[in-house]
Amino acid sequence: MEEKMTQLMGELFGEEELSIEEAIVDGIFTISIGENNYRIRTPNFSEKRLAEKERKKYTVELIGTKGYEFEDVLIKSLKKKKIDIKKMESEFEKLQEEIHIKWLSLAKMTKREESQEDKKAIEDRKIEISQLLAKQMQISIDKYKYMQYSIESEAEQRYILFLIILCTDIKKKNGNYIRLYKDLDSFDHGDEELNNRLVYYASHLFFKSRDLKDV
Amino acid sequence: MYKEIRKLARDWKFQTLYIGNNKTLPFIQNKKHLNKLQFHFLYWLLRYNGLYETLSFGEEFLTEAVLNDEMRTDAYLYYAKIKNEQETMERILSDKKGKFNHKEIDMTAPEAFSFEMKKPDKK
Repeated sequence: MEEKMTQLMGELFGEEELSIEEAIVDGIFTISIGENNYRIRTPNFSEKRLAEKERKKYTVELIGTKGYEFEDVLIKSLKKKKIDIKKMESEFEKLQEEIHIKWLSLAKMTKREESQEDKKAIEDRKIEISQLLAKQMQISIDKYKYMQYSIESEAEQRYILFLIILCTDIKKKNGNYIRLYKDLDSFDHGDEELNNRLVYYASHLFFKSRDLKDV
Repeated sequence: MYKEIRKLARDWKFQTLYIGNNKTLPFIQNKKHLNKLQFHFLYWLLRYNGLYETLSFGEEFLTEAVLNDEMRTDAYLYYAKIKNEQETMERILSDKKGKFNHKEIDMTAPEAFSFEMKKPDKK
């Protein structure tokens, strides 16, 4: 589900200025806004440890704060308001099963020599799969909308934000890079366009705890 | 962005660099701290490398047109996974059958459960 959200963000922001090759080879994204050049880089082990410490600290802060619940509690509260997250997840899984069936059929449609008719049938099957993927995307968005204020999600956002602060540099006139933000407060008062891009690029650079569970 | 990553991963430039360096990755600078993007890239680099090898064997349902189309590649990978799982299961079942074929035991017969207690060795 996370991957689908990131894909949607990419479509919203546009990626014409991105150098993915640079991000793969050097592990950094460079950003130019006006005359200023910035970069966001991959965190090292000690930076990740600092951010992890911040996540734990923030989680403790949120426990007991009105309006913040852990995911499992939030799911139960939402269900009382007739918003069924578990049902959304099972619908997502059902769609995945449908996609698997369509994938098998699409794979078997391949021939060494494909006629115009074969090509048309393949395109039709691809459209059917795209429609299922779009439904999955909608479920991801809906789920995110409701779950983004859970303690886990808020703490995760703080973790990512902390890494952004540690790993964003500005290029000086002599060509050297220095750290741009001192703390969360300076980030909050920073350039909005830059910050939006940083958050987007960070979603491609930094692993979230959920990603690591999948690995 | 994920589309771009896959495009780069199947690109001959990176495929050739990967094969030409004995399947190592000298072009990645921060190997100790791989980021998410690099992880995805490496995943697809290896996947496409395997698929190009499979393509050269003339495998059924895999063509150049499939590799140039992400959705068709996903479909093929899923098909190959299922096929592989089925073949593994068939192999396991036929291995088990092979083991028991030479000595068919009637498990309903009382002899099947009778055995002699071994007397302790006298020292």
